[in-house]
Amino acid sequence: MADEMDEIINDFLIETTELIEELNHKFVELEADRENQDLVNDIFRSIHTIKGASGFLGFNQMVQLTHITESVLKKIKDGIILLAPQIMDVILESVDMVKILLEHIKQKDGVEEDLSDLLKKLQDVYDGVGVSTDKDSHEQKTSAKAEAAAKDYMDTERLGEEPGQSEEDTDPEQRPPKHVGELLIEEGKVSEDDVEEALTIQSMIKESVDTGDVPKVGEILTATDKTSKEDVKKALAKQSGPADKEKGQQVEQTIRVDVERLDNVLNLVGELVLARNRLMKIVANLEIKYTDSADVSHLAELTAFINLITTDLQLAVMKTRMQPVKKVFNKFPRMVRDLARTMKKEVELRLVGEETELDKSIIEEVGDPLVHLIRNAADHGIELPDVREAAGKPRHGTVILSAYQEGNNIVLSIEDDGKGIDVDKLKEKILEKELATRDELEKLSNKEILDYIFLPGFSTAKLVTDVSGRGVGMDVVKTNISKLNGSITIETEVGQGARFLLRLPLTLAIIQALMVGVGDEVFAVPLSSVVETVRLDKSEIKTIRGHETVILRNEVVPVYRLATKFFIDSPSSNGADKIYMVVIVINEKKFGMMVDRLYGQEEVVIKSIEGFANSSEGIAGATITGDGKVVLIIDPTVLFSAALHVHK
Amino acid sequence: MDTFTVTDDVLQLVTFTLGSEEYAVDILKVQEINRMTVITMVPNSPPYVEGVINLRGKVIPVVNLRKKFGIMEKENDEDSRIMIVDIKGITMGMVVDSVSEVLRVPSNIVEPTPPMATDISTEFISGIAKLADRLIILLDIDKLIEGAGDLTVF
Repeated sequence: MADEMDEIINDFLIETTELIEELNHKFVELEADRENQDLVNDIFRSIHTIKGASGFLGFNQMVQLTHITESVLKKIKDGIILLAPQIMDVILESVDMVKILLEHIKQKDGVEEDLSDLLKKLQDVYDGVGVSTDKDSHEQKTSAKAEAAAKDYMDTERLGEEPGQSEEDTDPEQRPPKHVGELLIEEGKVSEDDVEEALTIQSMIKESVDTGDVPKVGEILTATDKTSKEDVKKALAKQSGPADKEKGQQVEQTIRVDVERLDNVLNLVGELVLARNRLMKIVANLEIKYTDSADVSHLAELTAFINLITTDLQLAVMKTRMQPVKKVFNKFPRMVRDLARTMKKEVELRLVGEETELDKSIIEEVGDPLVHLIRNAADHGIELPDVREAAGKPRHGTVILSAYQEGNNIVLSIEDDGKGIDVDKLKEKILEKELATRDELEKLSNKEILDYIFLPGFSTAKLVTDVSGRGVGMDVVKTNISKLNGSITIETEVGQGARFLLRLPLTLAIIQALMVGVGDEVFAVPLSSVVETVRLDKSEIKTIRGHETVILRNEVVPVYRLATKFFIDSPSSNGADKIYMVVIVINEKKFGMMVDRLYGQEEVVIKSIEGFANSSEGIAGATITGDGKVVLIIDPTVLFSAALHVHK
Repeated sequence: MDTFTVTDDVLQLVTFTLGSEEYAVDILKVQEINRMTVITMVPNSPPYVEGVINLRGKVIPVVNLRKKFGIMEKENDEDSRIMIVDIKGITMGMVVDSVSEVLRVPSNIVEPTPPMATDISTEFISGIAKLADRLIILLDIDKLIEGAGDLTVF
């Protein structure tokens, strides 16, 4: 019983969290488009759902809060309260509180929040207190109009006649579908009296027959020759038309599935792929052995078919883990709105390509970096309205967050029309922080100089605000994106704005890897961090201050022996003449990793190892090769993190 | 004794050998018993972790019980088996010398562990079953992996 209740509460939590996330987005949209009745209705329904569910589950505080919020929304919906920014602030505050209450429910800590302040604020809004006087006349006008509209609405409904002007003011979707009779009268096919007559006949039949078939109004009308069958059919089509549309909007063809189950399916498909590979190998052997056998060629045909299906199945399963980026994007409009209000700026956030899909695990990881970049764009990028006006730009700045697919990658771009990044200022800053010398900077392209932003402890903001500019962040953004096997680039023009481009793989589950051999062991190195491979002679390795290095095209590259790192007995650690070096780049630094053999590039499916912490000791996970063996995937970022600190 | 499944005061055990001694674990903890396969070593893991194996698409760690218990190591042979067990939600393999049988023993023949009775540290032992001609050491495998339960034990 307790479990059942837990399950119900869990469902409630998931659903409400989703609703709240959408709400944030919708409120901000509503602020820009105050006349949008559909949106108000949507919001109203969401709050109502939350109220209903929490009432059923006995979360009293939640009910209290949502009830008053709902009442306020009702007034907004009816046009009695005008949606001013102050009112929006209060409503948003209550949405935030709902979130906090949700967290308490999730933690089961039984903590109650002090709602009195917020409830009072909401009540004030509800009572119309605190709305400035100059709005009163307008308010009254709108409320009078709303009342009139409501009256009209009721009248039309009672009479069942053609609705008048008031249709605009009421929500057509809220209206029940019209009766066939009404529609026929509207079309002028039958008279009102005929319909009345048909209805009387219908009710008489209903009384005499207890159960079963009661003829429809349309049927009676045609039977008594008042109208033709075609007309009734048309009216029926008209009747069901809008109703169907509404259904299509509300009933989504989705089911909730535990991610674990999907992962399970993915695992099984992975196994199937391995089995298929082996099957194909065996069939290939058989074909060589028995060239004339019809059975063997049938088997080969079938195997080819299985091969196709398996590939498609694998793709299909991958797709089940894909989610639209909307899921992360949704929280940004609210964030930008709040930021703009605290910084007294005018910022518009435009979302493009919200439907673009990404793997669930990437969606989860990409949120924080995006928060940071969008904050930066709003805080450092967009200027104050007056400054913008002086520069001949519109007072309100625009931040465009877009997502699109580019080959095997998803690109997320954060673009602002602010002041851009001044490369000269950046250079001064680099010199000031002694990250490079003037001579070194001279040699660098603008793009390379911009990359300095991603170094730890680098911040160009003169003034440190609570929003951004503490110099922690861009390096974290970069590391997080690298962890996802993605990359980040900057494009900027002074005075015109800046654009950050994040390139991410479609899925985390499959990566390109370079297979390397050390001793008897094989490891996979994610190809995204590999720049090149070089064959070296023993004599090319020099020792500088106790550290082994290689001069690669005039660049000093520190080298590490994988065998030593992993305590493996191998030729590369025992001083073989010829060894291979895999050149890896982490945070713009090059490292050489010594290995015994290179096997080439392979597409590998990343699996976590049970009982092992991910990324522990430089292992990012494992993969299973075609012959069923386990190969460990190296995480160069962790493996060389110690080295990174030394060279910084 | 709550670490063992007791039905009508009968314990159901899977018995196996390590060195000269016979051990047993609760049958419900054992998922399956496999022949030796290729084990991939994991760098920088505790010495008793032999490595990882592919269990139908799942990558699971394998623990060498001889190393864990400090019994002299021996080359794996034809009789060597990997017992797949579930320790607090983590699936893992245990390398044992050989797997003997499934045994039903009345719970009243189990005696508490005498001090220093075996080679292995007594903390993993929940009792000793005394049969007519042999002694079986009952292992409490949940205690085998310290801190198990947070899914990151190595």
